[in-house]
Formats: sequence, structure tokens, C-alpha cells
Amino acid sequence: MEDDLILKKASEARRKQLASMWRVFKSNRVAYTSLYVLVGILLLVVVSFVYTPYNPYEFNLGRARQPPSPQHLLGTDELGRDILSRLMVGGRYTIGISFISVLLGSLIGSILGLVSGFFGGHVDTVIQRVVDVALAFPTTLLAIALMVSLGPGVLSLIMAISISTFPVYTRLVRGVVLQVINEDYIAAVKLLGRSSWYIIFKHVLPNVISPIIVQTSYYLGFSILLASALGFLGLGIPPPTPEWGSMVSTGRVYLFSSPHIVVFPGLFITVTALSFNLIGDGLRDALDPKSRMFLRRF
Amino acid sequence: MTLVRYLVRRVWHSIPTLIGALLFIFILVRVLPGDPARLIAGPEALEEDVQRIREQLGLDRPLHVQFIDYVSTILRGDFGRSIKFGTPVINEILFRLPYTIVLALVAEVIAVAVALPLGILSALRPNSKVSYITSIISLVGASTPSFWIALILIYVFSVSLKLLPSSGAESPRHIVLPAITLSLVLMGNLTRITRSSVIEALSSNHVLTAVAKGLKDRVVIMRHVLKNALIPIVTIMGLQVGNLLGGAIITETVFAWPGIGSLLIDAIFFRDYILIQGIILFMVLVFIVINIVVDVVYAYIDPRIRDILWRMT
Repeated sequence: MEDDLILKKASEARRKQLASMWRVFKSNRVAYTSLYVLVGILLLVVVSFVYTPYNPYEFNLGRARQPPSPQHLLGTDELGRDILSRLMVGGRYTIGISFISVLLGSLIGSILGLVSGFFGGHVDTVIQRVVDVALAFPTTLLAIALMVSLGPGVLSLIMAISISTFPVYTRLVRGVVLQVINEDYIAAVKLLGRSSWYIIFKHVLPNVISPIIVQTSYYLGFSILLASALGFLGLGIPPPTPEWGSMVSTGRVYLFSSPHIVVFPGLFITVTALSFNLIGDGLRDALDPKSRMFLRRF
Repeated sequence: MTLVRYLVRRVWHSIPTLIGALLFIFILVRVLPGDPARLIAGPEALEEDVQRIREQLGLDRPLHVQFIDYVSTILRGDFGRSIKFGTPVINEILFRLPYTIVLALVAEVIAVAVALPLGILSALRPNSKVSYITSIISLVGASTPSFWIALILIYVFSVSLKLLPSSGAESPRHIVLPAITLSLVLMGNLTRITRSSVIEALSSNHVLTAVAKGLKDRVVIMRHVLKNALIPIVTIMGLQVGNLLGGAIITETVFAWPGIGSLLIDAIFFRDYILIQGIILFMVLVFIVINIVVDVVYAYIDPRIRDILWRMT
């Protein structure tokens, strides 16, 4: 009975907390606008499954390298393919791969961090040594090395980016866990005889959720850049797949006469990464009361 | 004295990391698609020639023997011979290294020259025009792909204005565009860190005390705020230079700047796996060493951390 009441109150408090976070986020006009921009880009990508203005793979050399016009809103590329259609389809790869790999990276990294921080001992030592090794590589270098080894392709990209992103999550989560674990309320729950996993999920996890969310938003922006950089270097997905980075790469030969082939894919990458970063800033302010106080003070 | 002890301990602790990195690179190269012996011999070579090369390289021995062998040659400073060039890998790296170092330093200097004043001003005057410009710079740096910035710069300054060369390294003018490209990425990070560490220093109690004592604003900022704020800034700068030695890969490739980054990409396209392995290992070594140096410098300049280390060692 009493347990039920406490749980009900707790869930109501949580709902109120969420509502207040949303209000803070919404009041940040830049972050809120970015959310709209991002939704717009995602819509374009989703629509590509049912409709694109032109076939993104069809050559038409007679209409090669046309500047933007009412027929081709963003112009055509070196083989006469419609750039807008290619960007819509390419988003599936660039954004989709970033999404999946950061999700995987954050999941694996956070679980390792939780286990490492909570159980300590040998488990902690082993996990931390692995993380040390991963962090001994500059991130771009690690991703390039993995792509060389795994060979081009969607699956390799997902593996390379998630391996390059997980160690930061492990460090982050472990740090928070080590801080929380010495709090009195954790000791109290332990005295009540709850199992380790119960404590982790009920009492430790809620503390690490917001730093994870903020980090993920930044990492989504970063992994868009990383995925497209690998594509640009020719290590990503082989042509004719219209991945955004490789579109910039094929256009560089025509930079002199048709800069639009390079400009538009780059703009899409930038705007997408920028939205993720701005949303990250908004989330940080909304989720972290400390930084909010901080900002208000100045 | 304690500092030396700290340094020794720090180096000692990085040995497992180093062994792990060696193992990781070793595995990466072993799972590389294609048989390296076949790659060296060429597609038309006879099976017995391929077999002979395999034996020469020791590729027919058990993996753990190969790994121990690999580590012991590395310890002797032998990075192997490049398949493509036939020269020792370490020579190729050392030949290209000065280009990467010069590029990294010039980029870092540009970044610091812009980021420090902007970061400090925007922390002192939030909601001003300066702070607005600063946040735009730091956002652009964090959100624009460097290969794209590079191409836009080439389009504007080389193709349209014909002011600067777009590739190669023949004259000092060649460094301008790659250095600007790299510095834009660094600038974003650096302004953000500068701004937040100055804000943090401003809010500390001893600055409050200094203000309460009636010290002039300028004295407070120079002596009490900046001195404290510089600690994280210096740390980030060190890490950035370390990261640049590896992270300049893309910029070097776009501008055909002959550093180790573009050497790595060349090696990847030649499928020169001994060169690839050597460059990656070299970059990781540099990165580990710089991290240690940054830690030690950090410990040295921050008395609070120094005290903790005193007690630990």
C-alpha cells in the first residue's frame, strides 16, 4: 500500500520534472529552432523512401553539372543525377549510420561504465585497460584504421564509429557512478538488502542518464562529420551510393566550373551536425540544473 | 624530485596501454582483407613465390610468435620496410614528419591568437556582440566538416581570387590555406574552453575576495582570473597538438600537404600494410607521449594537483 503511494508520488514528481525540463528547452529559442530544422531534414530523408524528384542513380549525361534551376532545385552532378534526390537518399546512410553507431557506442560504453564503476576490482581494471587502449588513438585515426581493416561498407562503418565512440561513455558513466555510489542513500538501499542490479537500475542509472543524453547529442553531430569524412576519404560506402561525404569527394574535380556539386552536400552535413550540437547545448541546460544556475548567474 | 617520480610512474602506467595498442594494431593488420604475401608478390606471382615471401615475413608461424617477434622488432626501433617504396618505414615517417609538425604548430598559433582574446572577452561581456561572434565561431568549428571548409577555401582563394596555391608545399604561401582549415576546427574548441574556464575563475571565492579588497578590474582579471583560467586552456592546447598529428589526416589529403597524414592515406591506397602499421603505431606513440607530457605539465602548473601528487607518490 504505502509502497504504491510512494511510487505514484515518485512518478508524478518525475513527470513534473520532465515537464519543467521541456519548458527550459523550449525557452532556448536556438535549440528549439534547431529541433525543427533537424525534423525537417529527417522528413526529407523519410520521404525519400516513397518519393524522390528523380531517380538518384540514373545517369543523364546530357544534363550533367547543371546549376540549380526550377527543374533541379539543387542542380545536377557530374553524371547528370539530381543532387536533391541524391541528398535525400544519402541521408539514410549518413544520418542512419551515425544514429545506429552512436546508439550502439553509447549503449556498450555506458554498460561497461556502469559495471566498471559499480563492481570495481578486477572487472574495473580490465575494462579500464581496454578503454585506455582505445583512447590512446586519436578518434579519427582509430576510425580510419578500423575502416581499413574491416573494408568498406555500412556494417564496417557502424562498427568503426561505435568502437571509436564507446570509451568516452565508459569514462563518463564510471565517473558518475563512483560519485553516486558513496552517497548515503545508496548505503541505505544496500542495507535494505536489495540486489546490485536493482540498485544499479533504480538508483544509479537515473543519475547517469542526463550526462549520457547530452553526450549523445554532441556525438551525433560529431559522428555525422566522422562518417562523412570517411566517405570523403573513400573508406566509407562504395559508389554509386549517394553518401554525403563521398558526394563532396566526387564533386571536388569540378570545383572550378560547378562548385554547387560540392557546396550542397557539405551544407547538408553542416546543418545536420550544427542542429545536433545546438540541441545538445539546449539539452545540457535543460537537464543539468547546475549549469542552469551557472548560466543564470552570469 | 616528486615530479620525476610522478613522470616515471606515469610512464610505467602507460606500458600496458602501449602493449594493448600494439596488440590492437597487430590484429587490425592481420584481419586486413587480402593476403599480404600475395599483395607484395603481385597478382601474377606463382604460388611458390608467394609461399617464399610468406616464410620470409614469418607469416606462416603461429600468431603469438609473430606478435612477440613484432614487439621485439619495434623495441629495436625497426618499423619494417615499406612495400611500395622499399625503404625503411621509419625513414618515410621522419621525412614527412617536419611538414606535419610545422602545419600543426602554425594552425595552433592561429587558433590561439583568435580564440584566447575572443574567449576571454566573451566571458567578461556575455550578451555582447563579441560573445555572439564567439559562439558562432565555436559552433562553426564544431559542426563543419574540415574537408568541406578546405574545398570552400580553395574555391574562394585559389579558384576565384587566385590569391593562394591550393596544393603542395613548395613555398611558405602553400601553408596558409591548410593551416587556416585546421585552425578553424581548433578555434571552436579553444574558445569554448577559454570562455568557460574564465567564467569559472570569475565565480571563484578568491576573485570575489580580490574584488572586495578593492583591486582594480584589470589587476583582478590579469592576476586572479587569467592565471587560474590558463590551466585548463594549456591542457587543451597540448592535447590539440597531439590530436593534430593524427587529425590533420583529412586536411593534409585535401591540400596534398606532404605530412604523415597524407602518407597514411597514400599507404592505404597502395595497400602497403607495413607502412600503414608503422604510421598508425607512430601516431599512437606520439599521442601517448604528448598525453604524458600534458599530465606532467598540468601537475606542475596547478599547485592543487601538485599537492595531491605529493601525497600519492
